[in-house]
Amino acid sequence: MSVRATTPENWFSRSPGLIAGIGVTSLFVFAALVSLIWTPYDVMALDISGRFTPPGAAHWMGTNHLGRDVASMIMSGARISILVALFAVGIGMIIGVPIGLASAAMPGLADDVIMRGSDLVFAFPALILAILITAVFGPGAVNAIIAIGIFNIPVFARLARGAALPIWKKGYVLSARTAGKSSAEISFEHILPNISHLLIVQGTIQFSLGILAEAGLSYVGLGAQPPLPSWGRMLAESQTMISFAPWLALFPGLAIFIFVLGLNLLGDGLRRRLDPHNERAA
Amino acid sequence: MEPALIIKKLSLRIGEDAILSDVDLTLQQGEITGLAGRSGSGKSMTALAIMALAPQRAEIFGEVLLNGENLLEKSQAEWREIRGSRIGMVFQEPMTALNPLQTIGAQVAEVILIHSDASKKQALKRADQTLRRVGLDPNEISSDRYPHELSGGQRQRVVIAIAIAMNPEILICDEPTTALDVTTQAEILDLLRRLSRDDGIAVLLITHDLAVISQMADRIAIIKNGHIVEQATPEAFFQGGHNGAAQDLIAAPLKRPNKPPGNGEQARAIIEARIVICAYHQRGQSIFSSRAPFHAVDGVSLNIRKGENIGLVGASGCGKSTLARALLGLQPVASGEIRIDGASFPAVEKSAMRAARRKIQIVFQDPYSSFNPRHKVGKIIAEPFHLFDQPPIEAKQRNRISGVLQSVGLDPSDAGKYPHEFSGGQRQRIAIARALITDPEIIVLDEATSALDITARNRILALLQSLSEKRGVSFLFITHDLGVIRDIADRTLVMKSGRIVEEGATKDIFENPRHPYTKMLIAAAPVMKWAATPQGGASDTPRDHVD
Repeated sequence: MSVRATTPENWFSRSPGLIAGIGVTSLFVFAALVSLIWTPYDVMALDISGRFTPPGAAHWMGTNHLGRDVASMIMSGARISILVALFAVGIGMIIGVPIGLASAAMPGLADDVIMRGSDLVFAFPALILAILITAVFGPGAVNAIIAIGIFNIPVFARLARGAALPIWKKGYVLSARTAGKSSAEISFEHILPNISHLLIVQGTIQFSLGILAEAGLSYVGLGAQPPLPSWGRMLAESQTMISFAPWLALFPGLAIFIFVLGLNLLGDGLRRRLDPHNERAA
Repeated sequence: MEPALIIKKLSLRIGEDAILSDVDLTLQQGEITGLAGRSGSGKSMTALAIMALAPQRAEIFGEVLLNGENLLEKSQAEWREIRGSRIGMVFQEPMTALNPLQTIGAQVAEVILIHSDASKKQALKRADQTLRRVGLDPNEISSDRYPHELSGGQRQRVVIAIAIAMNPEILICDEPTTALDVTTQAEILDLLRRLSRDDGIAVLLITHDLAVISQMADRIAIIKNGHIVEQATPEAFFQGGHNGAAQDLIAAPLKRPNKPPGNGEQARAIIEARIVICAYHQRGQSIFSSRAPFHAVDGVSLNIRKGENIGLVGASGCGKSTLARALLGLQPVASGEIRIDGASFPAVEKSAMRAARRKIQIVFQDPYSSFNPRHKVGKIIAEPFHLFDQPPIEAKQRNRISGVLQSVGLDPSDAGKYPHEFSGGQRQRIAIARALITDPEIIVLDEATSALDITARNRILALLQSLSEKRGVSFLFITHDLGVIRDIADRTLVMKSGRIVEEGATKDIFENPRHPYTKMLIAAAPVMKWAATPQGGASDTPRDHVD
């Protein structure tokens, strides 16, 4: 008889992606926090004589054309990226989730109007509209937050609506209705707690998209303005110097790549852990 | 005769838990073996173990012999040859067992293509023949229909067709009729009997319903906690001899209080409904023609008096749940009038609406989706306090909650637990407690016992009966289970296609059904072939059937 015994796997080996995601994300968040009180060099300091220093013991990631320390700029740039993405996700959740819940609670015309409105926002390529908004209202971190945040609204509205609809048919919602509770009371008491895991996972994914969008906006010069360091602008500036100072492109590029990868691993890992459908048959 | 399948000392363990212990079972050609047990007794796991479909983590010991070969030693590749071709399986829920994107003919043909050298054309032809064998004539029900176009019973026939397409020696049916209503159940059972008798298939029929087994099986095995506790012929099993192993599978008859009939006449009406119509809009076929709305409830009138228990029976889709929702104000009424305790319902004024809602509460079918999994039981039960202008607070509220928990047979300390800590039966008690907290005049029970096993069902029914006597609360039982109605309802309404087709005292309905539909329902309900004599439970209301 074949005995298909499985050893009790520990948490780590079961979700290595999640652990890696948590690790990478905390590393960047930690670097961003440390940059508030300490960076290897003053991030604003120019040192023209020491420009284009390759990576080494003195400057871990080298210096740029103005002699600014790249490692310090990456650390402070992380802070800008995280702030922009965090606020953008926040705007999307705070406005989008109530819209989605309302849409699910009011089938019929209201639902149609809300959802077609979100289709309209979806119809524009995200980055193009963000560029439009920042071009109209002027470049800067705040406008980048607003531009990216607007894109997150329909994402969360749709997710909340889609997740809420089946819960409206559950017994506990019906009995809350027989208990005379209003749609708003039911939405916040019964629906929201039961879809929160989906919102958290989507929040993580939108956060990583926010990092990318911020990098894209500042690449075209519409994000945080100099002298504030920003990953996207660092990449843009490095373009003309890539042949003799490749590290200027390499490190911000790697930072974006690894951080976004880490956030996606985190989002994916959370989805697996939080979604009961993905549990192995017990 | 050579047995078709011999199971010897089959044991199955998952981690520390012994799910099956030394199960011995023999299936004979052309015979139906009934395997009965409560939920969790290991009956489904037996089927999965035979099919080598048990969960990965399970450790299996023993022998399963098909023509002398031990199936437990087969590799996965060898198993793919056996499954579907030598052993077929029928599942409980036909909708999820079929692929919604493939035609029924293609799904039957798929099995034939996998297990034989037939060309696609030959396979489709054989699929048509197989569908005819299970009673789906391709001239009437074309084999290029999709599962959603068929009724539940027809879908189950397709599932059976897939299972028997390769003429297997063994057919394993796990609760094949549990998801179906009584009339369809009778037809499917008939089909299984025919397949076994005429085609010599050895059938293993797994069910919790002893009445089904008593009518179908040539041999009965009772499983309890993973042990086969009894194995006998039905005659020997039911006519004494059985050692009480089947006790908890038999629906114990409830002692009916001898309420004088007509006592309800003077009592005031709690619910009055007059010519209620509930309509659903249907999508039109073209933009120019809109189809007439579908009347799920089509002119129903009913009266429920204080203290009266009413049974509302009908097949699935007859509109009984829609009617219940309309009575609770959860479903808009297209026309007609509903009065709760004399007041028009739904009321326009908020306070009047809340007063009416306090009088009518509901218990739903599924004990697993009835509660917010993130709330504790105390909070769940307290929710209807929302209906009070001045709800009791703190100590008073806790006392009320403790009180209703005790009256449904739970412990006051249960208020601090989460719903997932309770069994199905206990959950239904929590649901009843939540309904009782407003001191309602009537509680609507929408299939409230159909997700429970027999023991839990009996206990819940006994609880409801005592609540009805002690608190004078009325119950409206909405169910397709005639047994529940017979056990507890004073008056019965039979519903079909949105209309009440027959109405009367429960006893009269069961003894002298007038409407042909009622007659059919009663005739189709599986009844114990042999009068079971539960030990020490000889009752003054024999459960023998009227026919």
